[in-house]
Amino acid sequence: MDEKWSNDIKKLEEKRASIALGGGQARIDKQHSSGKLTARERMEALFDDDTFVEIDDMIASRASDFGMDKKKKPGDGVVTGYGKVHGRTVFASSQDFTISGGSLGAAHAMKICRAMDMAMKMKSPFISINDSGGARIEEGIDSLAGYAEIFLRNTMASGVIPQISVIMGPCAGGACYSPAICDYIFMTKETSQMYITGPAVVKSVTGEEISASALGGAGVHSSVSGVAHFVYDDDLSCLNGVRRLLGYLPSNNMEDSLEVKGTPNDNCASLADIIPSDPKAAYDVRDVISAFTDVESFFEVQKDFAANLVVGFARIDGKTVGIVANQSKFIAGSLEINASDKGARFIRFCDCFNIPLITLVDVPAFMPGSNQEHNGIIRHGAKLLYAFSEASVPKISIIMRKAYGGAYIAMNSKGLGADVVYAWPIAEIAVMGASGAVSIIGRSAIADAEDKDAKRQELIDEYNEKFMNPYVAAERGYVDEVILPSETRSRIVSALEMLKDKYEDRPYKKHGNIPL
Amino acid sequence: MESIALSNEMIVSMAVACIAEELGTDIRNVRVLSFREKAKSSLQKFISDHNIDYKKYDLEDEI
Repeated sequence: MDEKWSNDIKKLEEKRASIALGGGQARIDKQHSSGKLTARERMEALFDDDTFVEIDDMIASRASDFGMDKKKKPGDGVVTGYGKVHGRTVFASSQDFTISGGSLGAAHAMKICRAMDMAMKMKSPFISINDSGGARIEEGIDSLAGYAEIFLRNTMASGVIPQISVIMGPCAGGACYSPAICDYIFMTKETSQMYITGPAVVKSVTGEEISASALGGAGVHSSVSGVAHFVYDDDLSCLNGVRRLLGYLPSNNMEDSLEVKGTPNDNCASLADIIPSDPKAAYDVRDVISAFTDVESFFEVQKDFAANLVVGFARIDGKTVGIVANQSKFIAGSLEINASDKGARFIRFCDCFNIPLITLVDVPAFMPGSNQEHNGIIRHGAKLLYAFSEASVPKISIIMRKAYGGAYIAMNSKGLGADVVYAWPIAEIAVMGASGAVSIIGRSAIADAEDKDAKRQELIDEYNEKFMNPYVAAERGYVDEVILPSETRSRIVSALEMLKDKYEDRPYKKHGNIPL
Repeated sequence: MESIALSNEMIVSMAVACIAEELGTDIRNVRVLSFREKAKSSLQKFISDHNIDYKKYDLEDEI
C-alpha cells in the first residue's frame, strides 16, 4: 500500500468516526442522561446482531440561510439503512436528536424517502424511529415539502409493506402524521410525546395550561386517544417489542407470515369453567384466547384503549392469526365508538397482510346513549361492519355466549361473510336479551295481566326457551355447527387448514369508501 | 467440578486449535498473523456501564 492509499484510508476512517459521533460526545451524554439511546444505538438494538448497514451517511444539508452552511453535519440528523430482523430484510430510519435536535430539513427528508423507496422496491417492512424537534425552521418550506414527500410514501406503502413508527422523543406538528399513517405506533413511557400543537401554543391560543406528557405522552395516547398501539418503559424494551411484532408479520402483502414453531396448546376443556353461563357475569376473554393458541403467543394490540374489545396476534400451530374478541370485563363487552375504530383498523391490517381472523363473540349491544349517538356511533360502528365485510382472509367466528342485535351482526356474522361460524351450547343469538324483548313484545299482555310480575316472568321464560340458544341460528344456517368448548381448538385448526388457499374475488374498484 | 482459571494464552491456544480442527488442518501448520479484540459497540458499552439486564428478543424466546 503506497502513501496515498494509507492517507486516504486514514481520512475515511476519521470521517467515519466523526459521523458515528453524531452531534458530539457531549450531546450523546445528554441523550443518555435523559434515558434515551442514540440513533445508531437504536438501530443496533432493532436489528439482528451485526446486520445493520447504514446508507447515505455523508449526505448533508445544502441550506445556507441563517448560517446553516456552517452548522451542517454529515447525515443531516437522521440515520437510515437496512438489516435483518429474524433473518428477513427490514429498512429503517432513526432520527438523531444530537444533530440539530433531529429537525427535519430537505436532505434529512430525502434520506428517509430513499430508504422508504428501497423498502418498497424490496417489499420489506419499514421502521421509522422518531426523535425530532420537528421541521427545521431555517430551511423554510423545503422542510414542509420533505414531510409531504414522506406522507405520500407512507400512503403508497400502506397495505403493501408493514410500516411501524417508534416514538422515542418529541414528535410534534406535521411530523405526527407519518406515524399516524403507519400501521403501528410504539411509544416509550417517559421520553416520548406526540402532539400537533405543543403546550406553549395551546396556552397562547386557548389559555389552557397543560404539561407535555399530559397533552401527548404515551399514557394519553395509549389509553385515551388510541393513537399509540404499544407502550414500553424504555428504548431497549420498546425496540424488543418492535422485533416481537415483526415476528408475527409477513414482509409484504404478497407473502405469508413467518411460521414460528412454538408450543401448541389445547386447554379448551377448561373453557366451560372460564366462562360463566350467566350472561351477566364477567370473565377475562384473554383466558379464552390462551386456551386455544400456542403457549404465550398472544400479543395484544392497544391493550389500554377500548378495553371492551381485545385485539391482537397469536399463533396456532406456529401460524399467525388475528384475534378480535369482546371483553365482558369492560362495559359488558358492548361495542362503542372507540372499540369500533380499534377493531376495524386491526381487521383491515390483518386483511392487508394475509392474516386469518378469529372472532370471539360475547356482545350484548352497541352502547346506548346520547354521548355515543352524538359522537357518531353510527359512522364509527359502520367501520367495523365494513371492515369485516371487506376482509377476504379466512374468517372464523366462535359465538361464545351473548350475540344480540346489531352488535351480533357486526361481529363477523355469517351474513357479513364469515367462512365458518361455530357456537357453544350456551350461546344466545337473538335480537336482544329476554328482559328487553319482553318489555316490548309483551307490553300489552303484561299491562292486562292481574299479576304483572308473574306474567312478565312467564313471557321471559317463553322467550328464553324459544330464542336464547344457538339452535335457531343453526337451523337457519347462520351457525355452521354447535360445538363443545373442548372441541374449539380442533375445529379452528381444521377450519384454518380448509381455508388456507381461500381466494375471494372482489369487483373492480379504485378503492372502497369506508365511512371514516 | 473445580473451575479452572484460563489464562489469555490458553484461550488463544484453544481458539487456534478450534480453527485448525474446523479447517481439517494440522495445528502446527496454522500461523496466527494478528489478533484484534473486537471493541464493544456504543450500545454494548451503554448496557454494561448502566448494568442493564437486557437480551435482544428472538423468535426462539417463544419456544
